[in-house]
Amino acid sequence: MRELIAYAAGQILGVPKDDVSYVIHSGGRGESGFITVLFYYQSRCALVAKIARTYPQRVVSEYNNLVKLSRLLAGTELFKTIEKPYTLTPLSGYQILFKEFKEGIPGPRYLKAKTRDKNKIRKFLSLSVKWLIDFVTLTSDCRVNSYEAKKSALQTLTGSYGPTYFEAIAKDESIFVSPCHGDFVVSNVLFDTRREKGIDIIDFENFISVGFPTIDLISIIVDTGTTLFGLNDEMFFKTFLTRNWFALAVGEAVQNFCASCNIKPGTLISMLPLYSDRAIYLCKAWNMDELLPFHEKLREHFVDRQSEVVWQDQTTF
Amino acid sequence: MSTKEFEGVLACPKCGGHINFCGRHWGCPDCKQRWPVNEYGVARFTDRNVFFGADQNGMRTLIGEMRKMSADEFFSNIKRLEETYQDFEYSYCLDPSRADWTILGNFQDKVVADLGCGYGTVSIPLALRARNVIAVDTCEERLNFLSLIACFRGVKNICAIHGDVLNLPLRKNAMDAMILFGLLEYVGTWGNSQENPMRLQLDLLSHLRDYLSVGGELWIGIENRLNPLYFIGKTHHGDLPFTPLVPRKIADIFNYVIKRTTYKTYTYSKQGYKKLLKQAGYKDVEIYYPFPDYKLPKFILSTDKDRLFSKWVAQVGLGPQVKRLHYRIGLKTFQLLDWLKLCGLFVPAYIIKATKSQICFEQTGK
Repeated sequence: MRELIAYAAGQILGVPKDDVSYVIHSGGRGESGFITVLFYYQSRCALVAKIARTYPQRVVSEYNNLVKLSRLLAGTELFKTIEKPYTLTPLSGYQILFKEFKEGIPGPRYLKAKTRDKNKIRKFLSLSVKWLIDFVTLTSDCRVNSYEAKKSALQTLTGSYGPTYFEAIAKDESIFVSPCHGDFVVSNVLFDTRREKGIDIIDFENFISVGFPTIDLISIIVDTGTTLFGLNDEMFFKTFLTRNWFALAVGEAVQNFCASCNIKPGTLISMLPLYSDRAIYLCKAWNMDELLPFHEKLREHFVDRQSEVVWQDQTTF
Repeated sequence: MSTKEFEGVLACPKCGGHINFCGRHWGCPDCKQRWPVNEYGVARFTDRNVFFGADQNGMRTLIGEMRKMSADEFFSNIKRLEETYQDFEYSYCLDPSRADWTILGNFQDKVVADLGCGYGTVSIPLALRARNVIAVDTCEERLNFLSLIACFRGVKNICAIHGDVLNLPLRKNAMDAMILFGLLEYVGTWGNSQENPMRLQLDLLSHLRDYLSVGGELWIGIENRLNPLYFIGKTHHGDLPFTPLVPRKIADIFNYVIKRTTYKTYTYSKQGYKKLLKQAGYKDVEIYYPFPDYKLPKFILSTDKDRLFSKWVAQVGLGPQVKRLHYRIGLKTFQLLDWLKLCGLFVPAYIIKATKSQICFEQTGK
């Protein structure tokens, strides 16, 4: 740790190492998880170091993703909302990614604290989706909607090109592939209370240049639902099937996204099972067995009850 | 595993001389003693097997089943195995986050002995960076399990030794680091010694110092005697309520009345550990603060100053478990202690690094 501290303090922060304290945080996900070190200087968190527990390639790719993203978003407002990569360096047998610390309330804490405040929840969802819309708009030059590109993206997303609905997605002209966060969930959204409408987005380790932004959208909808209602059927009913304030907020967010991307809400609904196939694939790859039954059940609902989703036609909702 | 590498660091526990690996056993050319290597590759330097757990037969059956499995089969069947075998639990036997604390040190290319290695949750992740890891335990089933997991993970620089910490088959001055997690507190319970537990702990620490190279590090994970849980009657190590807190003589009387034996599982306060290690001939004692314990820490603070605990909690939170009442009470207690700058004195446990000094100036008290 001495080497790490000396590097962080001397090379990045430019302060005496004795003035720097730190907290080591053990993340989940077992073998495929990360250890995060937060460095504090003068009472404030000044820097983050991220270390892959077993597979160093994962921090290498996150660093490369952040560099790529920084170039992609340079000069835009969105640039301020992502973490700045400082350096990637080998120390004490680890590959260590040093990046900017983003101050803000993590999404799950913000939502839990405001569980009864519907306006705050609507605000969280609309800001997250607005970020996503801005990101998709800013990266529109990178859009591709060729059959081959979509086929390859589907394979990358789920580890195989299996289900029959894949073919329909690959052939649908309105669906395109473009850069994606890849893990756009509540815990990766930080609510910055210092800025009026500010959110920051973190953890671009799963960023992909050729992915489906629609999956990012479904991801934030499902994860907001599970954060509010839990990993159960209630979440599915309240988010997708019953007419209530939350489903209305989700419907508005979906309408905005679909309008900006020129796709029909029905097309987005047809991609719900893809979200589940991706989630099931990740649960297996990241040893998150506890989430597997929920995602398998959700997949059944997404396949069987697509026609019942209340916000597919906003005019009747 | 490359046995040649281990020949350089292992030694005869009897005469301290060089030992050789001869296919199915380790042997000492000088005193002609032999130590067999079992079918799992575990070198058996002791005949004494101490099983820690509830179901020894279950663990043996599990190991037998694992032996017939491929790595993929094993890792995809963890849930089923957890349900079938009482003593098998992913978080205890396999979770690599139990070794996250090792980032505190620099173990790259070092020769490390993990004493009381258990199922290898620290030894195996550590072997990814260390040059060699010598994993020692008195429970053969755990070592067999460790060997199989090392094999599944393709880890070859690990040597599993069924042996006694008081009679280690290690070469003197050859270890760059030694790990003593969850072991030091039990020294007083080993054998039927009537010796004072602190005396036995000092002896062990001094004895281990001999195996460390100059500048070598001893890493200890242990409970704090002033763990706040002890103030409400909870204990570890099978202790009677409040016995860790009260003066040792009173703890002896309590224990004698109820258990017919004296109090033996000594833990200390922060200052107590510093004093103990200095007496045993170590220098540069560094203390880290793991939460909620040293076995499976969620986070580790580098210092008890700067109100780091409160800053961390304010920024990151403690996750969904904080909804439970006892977590909320614990959190508020620590925030108050942190505000009073007393957090370091009352943390649940410590991770301690002590370095072997070149010359031992201090008496061990013998």
